[in-house]
Amino acid sequence: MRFEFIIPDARDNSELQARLQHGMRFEAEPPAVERRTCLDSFDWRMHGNAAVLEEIHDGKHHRLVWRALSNGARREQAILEKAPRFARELPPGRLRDRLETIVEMRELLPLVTITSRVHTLRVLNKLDKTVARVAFQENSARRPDGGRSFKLDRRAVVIPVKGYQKPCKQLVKALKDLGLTPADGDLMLTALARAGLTPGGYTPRLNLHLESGMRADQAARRILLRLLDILEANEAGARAGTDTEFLHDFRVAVRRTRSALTQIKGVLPLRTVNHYKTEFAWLGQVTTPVRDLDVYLLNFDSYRASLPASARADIEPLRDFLARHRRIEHRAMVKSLDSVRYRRLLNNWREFLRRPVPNRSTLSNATRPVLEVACERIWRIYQRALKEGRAIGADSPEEALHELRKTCKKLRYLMEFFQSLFPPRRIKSPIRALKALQDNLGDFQDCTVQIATLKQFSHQMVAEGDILPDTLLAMGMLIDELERRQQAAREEFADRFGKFDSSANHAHYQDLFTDCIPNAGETTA
Amino acid sequence: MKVLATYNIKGGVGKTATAVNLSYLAAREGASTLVWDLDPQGAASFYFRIKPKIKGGGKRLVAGKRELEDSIRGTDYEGLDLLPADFSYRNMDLFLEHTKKPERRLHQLLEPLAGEYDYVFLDCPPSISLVSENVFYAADAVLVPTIPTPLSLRTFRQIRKFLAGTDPDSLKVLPFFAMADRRKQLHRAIVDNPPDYMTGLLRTSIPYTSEVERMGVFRAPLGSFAGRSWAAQCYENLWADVKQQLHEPYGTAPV
Repeated sequence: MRFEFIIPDARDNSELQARLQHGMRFEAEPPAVERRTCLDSFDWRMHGNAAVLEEIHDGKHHRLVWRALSNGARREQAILEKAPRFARELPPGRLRDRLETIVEMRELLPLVTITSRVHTLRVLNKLDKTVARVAFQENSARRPDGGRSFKLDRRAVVIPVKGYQKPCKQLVKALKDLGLTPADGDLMLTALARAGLTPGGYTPRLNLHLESGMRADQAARRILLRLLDILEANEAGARAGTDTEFLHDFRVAVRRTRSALTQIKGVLPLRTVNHYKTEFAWLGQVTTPVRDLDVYLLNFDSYRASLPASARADIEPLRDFLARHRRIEHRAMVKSLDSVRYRRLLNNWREFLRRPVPNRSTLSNATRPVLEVACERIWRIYQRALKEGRAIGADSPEEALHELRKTCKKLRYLMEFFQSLFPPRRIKSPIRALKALQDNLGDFQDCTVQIATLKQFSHQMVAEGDILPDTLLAMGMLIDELERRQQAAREEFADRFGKFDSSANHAHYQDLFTDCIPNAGETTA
Repeated sequence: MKVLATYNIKGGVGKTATAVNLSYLAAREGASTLVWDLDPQGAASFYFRIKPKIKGGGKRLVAGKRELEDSIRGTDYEGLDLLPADFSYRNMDLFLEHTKKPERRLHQLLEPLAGEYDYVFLDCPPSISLVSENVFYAADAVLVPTIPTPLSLRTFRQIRKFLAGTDPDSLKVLPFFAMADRRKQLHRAIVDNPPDYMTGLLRTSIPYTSEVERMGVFRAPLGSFAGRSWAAQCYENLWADVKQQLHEPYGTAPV
């Protein structure tokens, strides 16, 4: 626990320090300058976990410190040569483990740097042992990408030493008695705000608030506009290509847009729907090769680990091949994003979505209340998923599972689009049941695709002429492993689908999605 | 969390100096580090200027009636904590005997700290006892400072022999020469040609210098007051050796 006090501009540090020294023994440390840079992922994962990640440079060492946002308590730290860009670059240890679970593959972006001139006093006991510290800080901050530096509060920070509470309490009391006011927030938050950054300001979640009585066409536009915002927010990162998740979120926004266009039926003019369906399908296509290769590269270490130890080194040429092709595909993708077609798509689309809805409409669902349309569509797709799933037996072809996967994805997207229309606690359970099924279908499909592409890669590598037989053998072993996983997913399907097709789950769906539809609810189960 | 014990049956061979200096280096590198001063003499506690006293005594601590965590004190160095000694530790064997699996008790007591510390150094009293058995069970590696004299080598053989009976497979025994005096021909001969049975011998020897003794005057780790001295440099090398051994499979130590 740290205690921080704001030092008013009018107060002089030496006067405060002199008055503090009554009744306690102090030793001053040499004055120091400390630079703390706040790091977080684009989607604010550290902040979302109530934590601050700081790279601290005190002139000698670079330290990476993870501390709690609530009380500043240090959780983990590591000494480094330079600030890491990814959690995976850190030396093995608890900090890396914890960071990897939260930040995963996302890049750690430097957001704002606080420069503090620090005078630290150590409180000593009779044995001359340090039992508490108080640091007087003069603070300023600036964005790492340049810009002017700006002044922040001066602060007095009480830093306790474990096992010595009394001197810490004494310090806090003394600072209060000197008329200093406790600071009510983390200085880093102030710095971020002053730098024009809003923690949590970006999230790939929809976070929409629709009202049930709203016109369906208006709601559809709100959903599509939010998706467009997400897409655009990720464009720069997808172009840069260092953090793979920008492209991932970009593509999810594209997929959701396509799904919204086709699944929220009868709310937008057919011509518009058809045009943008084609355009967004194109955008999906031109970004697919890079994403496919990203997925391989992200999974590479786990693939490698699944091989017998003797074959692990043999698979490395595949990594080089993937990295090389990713560079080529990424350049091609950036070219597509530079195209007139892409610019025009985004501009026209935004313009269309911003246009006010017409008062009257010949479209069947446009002016109906959104809740009705939402329930109707969700219920219809839910029925389709049940039908498709029930038709799948042990000898059904792979395509049947793939079709069900696509239907489930549509259902999931619809439920997410319209989530805010339903009581949050009640919609959670149907989404959870669906997610468990989707995970299984996803595992199966991923293995299927990866087996096919691995075969294709091996042909490509042979054609490019620089592959050793051992690498081909290792890739063969990898395919074996993936087939095993694919089989396992297939065997688990019946159980997962059974849970999705349970009467309890059906009751949830019926309760939520049939109330507002006339004549619904009698069709299945 | 890696648990390192500094151990020898003989006293005055530099166990505490090793625990204090290496833990200081570990913390300086950013690792969250704890020293548990198990020796009732409380030398490690003395070096860190912390009273060798546990509230309620060692008995309650070992019995689990008092959280280990509550007795831990921060040292003057960031990231370096100490669990102080207590004079009652002289009866530690008795306390341990009264617990369920007496030879695993220290291990059990340390378990809850795994999320908090990267390294725990156990500074052991000089003896072979139930305490040492506990230490061998709890530790990932035992650092054995050995003076390069025939008598000390004999002691090391005794330790090896004793460990052969109880040694869990994963325990690394890492001897190194301490208080080595280059002016003495005998010391030089042994350091330059260590006997075969000293498998796992660490490359670095700690010299016999007055700086190490001055730790008792400054009551501080060597690195904090004589960081540039030869002895401090040797401890840094020793720490690098130890870290390398911790991450390598057992039996690959250069001899």
